[in-house]
Amino acid sequence: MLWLYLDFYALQLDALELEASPQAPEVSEAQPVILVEAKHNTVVQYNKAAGSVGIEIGMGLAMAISLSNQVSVLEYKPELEGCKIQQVAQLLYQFTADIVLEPPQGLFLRIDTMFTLYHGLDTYWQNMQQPLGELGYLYRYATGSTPLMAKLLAKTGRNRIEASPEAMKQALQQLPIAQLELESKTAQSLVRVGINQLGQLLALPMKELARRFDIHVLNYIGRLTGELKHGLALFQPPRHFQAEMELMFEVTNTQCLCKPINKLLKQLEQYLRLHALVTQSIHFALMYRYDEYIEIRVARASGEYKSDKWLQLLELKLESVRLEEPVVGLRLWADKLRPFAATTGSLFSAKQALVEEDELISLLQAKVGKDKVLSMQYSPSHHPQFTTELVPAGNEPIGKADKAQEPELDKELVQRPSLQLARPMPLRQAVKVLQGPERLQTNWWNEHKIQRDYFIARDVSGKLCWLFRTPQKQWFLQGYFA
Amino acid sequence: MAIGELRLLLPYIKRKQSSGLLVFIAPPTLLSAEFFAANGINLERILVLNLYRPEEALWAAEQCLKSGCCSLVALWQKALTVKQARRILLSSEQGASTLLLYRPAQKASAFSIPSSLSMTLQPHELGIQARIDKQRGGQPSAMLTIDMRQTWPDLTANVSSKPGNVLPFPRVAAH
Repeated sequence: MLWLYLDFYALQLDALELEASPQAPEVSEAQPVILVEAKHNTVVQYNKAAGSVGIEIGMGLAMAISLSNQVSVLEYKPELEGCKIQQVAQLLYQFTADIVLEPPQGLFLRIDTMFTLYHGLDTYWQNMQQPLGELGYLYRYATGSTPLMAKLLAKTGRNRIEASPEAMKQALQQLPIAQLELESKTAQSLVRVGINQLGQLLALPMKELARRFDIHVLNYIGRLTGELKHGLALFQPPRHFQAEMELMFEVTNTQCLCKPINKLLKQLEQYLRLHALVTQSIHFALMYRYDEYIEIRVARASGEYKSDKWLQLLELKLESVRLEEPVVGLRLWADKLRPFAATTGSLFSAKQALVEEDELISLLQAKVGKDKVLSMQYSPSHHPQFTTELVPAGNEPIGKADKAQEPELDKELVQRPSLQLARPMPLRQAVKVLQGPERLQTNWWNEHKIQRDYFIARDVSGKLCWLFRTPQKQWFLQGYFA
Repeated sequence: MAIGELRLLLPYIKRKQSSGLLVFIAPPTLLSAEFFAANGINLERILVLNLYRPEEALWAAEQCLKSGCCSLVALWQKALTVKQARRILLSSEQGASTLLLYRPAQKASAFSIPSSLSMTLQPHELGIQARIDKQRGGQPSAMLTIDMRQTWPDLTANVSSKPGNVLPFPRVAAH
C-alpha cells in the first residue's frame, strides 16, 4: 500500500486571501496577517509578510504584535477549514478514488490503486498538479507505506513522492520523538530514557514497550509501522450540487440572467455527467444586495442533466419572475440527484415523439405552474363530489404506474356526467325529466352526509343535466352530460 | 354545450389513447374521472390543464400538439383568430396529433377558420344532431341525427316521430 498525505497547513489564511477581498479588505500581500488560536493565544498561521518580520508558529499573541504594530489578527476557525477540506476532497475525487478526510487540514490519499489508470507514480503526481494548482492553497506532502507514516513525513515538509519503502523508512527513523502525535508526557518520558529519534523507539521490542506505556502508544506505533490495521472511513462525495456566481454588474432584466445561469448549468451538467447522475429539480436563488434573494425552482420528473434542457425550462420560468431589486449574484442548488438511466424510445413506431411525456409536463409546469397541470384519478365513492381527484401531474411517470395499486374499478360503472360543477347550483331553468329518481344516500358517517334523489333531465336549451332533489324538496344542478 | 359533444367523439378519443396523451385544456367545468373510467379510457393517459387565460391555453395547446407525445388535445375556447388557428393547425401536423376545438355555435358562424373538419352540433332527443360544415377532401353534409339510444338509453327519449336521416351510434367502421 502506498499513501499520500496532503497537508494544507495554511488553509484558512489561503482561503481568505484567495476569496474576493471585499469581505476582508485588511488582507493584502504586504500586510502581515496572523491567525491566532483563541484557547492558547498562539499563532497558528501567518502570511509571508508576517514571516518576514519574524513571526513564527506557536508564538504568543503579545510577542507577535510586539514584532510589528501593523499585524492584523484574525481568529483561527478549524470548522471553517473543515468545510474547505471537504471541497478540496471533492475536487481531488475526480483524480483519486480513495480519499480519507483528516480534518481540519489534511487528506489521506491511497495512491497505489491508481497506478494502473495513470501508468505509474510520476504521471499520477503530474495529473494531481493540475487540481492542486487550481486550488491555490499552500500544501506539504509526502508518501508513506501507512497513512500515519505519510502524515508524519508530510508534516516535516518532506515534499517528496516516492515509492521505495526503504527510503521512506529511513526518513521516518530520523524523525525526532517530538514530531510524533503523542501526549507530551509520554514523549518526555521517552526522551528521558534516551530515545530521541523514532528509529530508536521502533527498534525496541513491542513487549517491552507494552510494559512501560499504555495501549494508545502501542496502537499508534502499530498503525505507524503497519503492524496494526488503521481503520479509515473513505470520503464519499456529497449527493448534492451547489454553485454560486457573483455577477460583474447588476442585472435588472431577467432576460440578461440567462447567460450567467447557463454558465452555472454547464457546471452542473459537468458534475452530473462525471457522476452519472441526473437531477429532478434545481433551485436558483437570485441574490439581491443585503443577503436578500428570491428563489425559483424548476422540476423535471424524469430527471435530466443537460444544461440546455434546464435552460429552456428556466427561461420560461423567468418570464413570470418580477425582480424587485437588481440581482448581484446567483446560486444554484440541486439535491434531488439520482442515477442516470437511459430511456429507450420505440425505434419503429410510426411517429417519433419529439418530446418525451415527462418533458412536456415539466415544460408546461415551468410556464404555468404546477397546480394547473393535473392528472386525473378516480376514487371509488358514491358521493359525486369525491369521485374525481385532480393531482399535479408527473409525480410518477404517466402510464407507468403500478397496475396492482390501481383501485378496483366497478365493472358496472353507471353513466355519470362528464362535466361536473365544482359545487351544486340551485336549479333555475325549466327541465324535462328523462330518467330518475336514483337515490344516493352516503357519507352518513362524516360531515359530507347526503341524501339526494338524482334525475337526468333535458333543459329548454337542449342541455342534458344531472339534477338532484334534497329531502327538503330543493332542486340542484350537479353536472352535465356533455 | 353539454348536448353530447364529448360523447359523440368518445369512440375517437378511445382509439386515440393508445398513441399518446389525451390533453384537456380549459374544460368548462370539472371533468369527471368516473365518466372516462366508465367509458374505457385509461385515466393515466389524461392530462387536464386548467388554463383559463386564452393566451396560456393556446400556448399550452401548441406545445402539446407539436410535442409528438399527445395524440389528442381538446380545447374549449370561445374565440380564435385565423392566424392562431393556422398556427395550431401547423403544430398539430408537426406532432401528428389532433386538436378538438369546442366553441359556441354563434361564434363559429361568424367566419370560417382553417381546419380539417368543422361540424355544427345541435341537441336532439335521440342523441345529437350534427352537420359537417367543412371537411378536407369531402363535401359538406346536411343535418344528420345520430341515434344514441343503444349506448345511452337513459339520456335519450324514445320518440316515435323520427327525422329523415338517422345514423346509429357508435357507427361500426366498414372494413
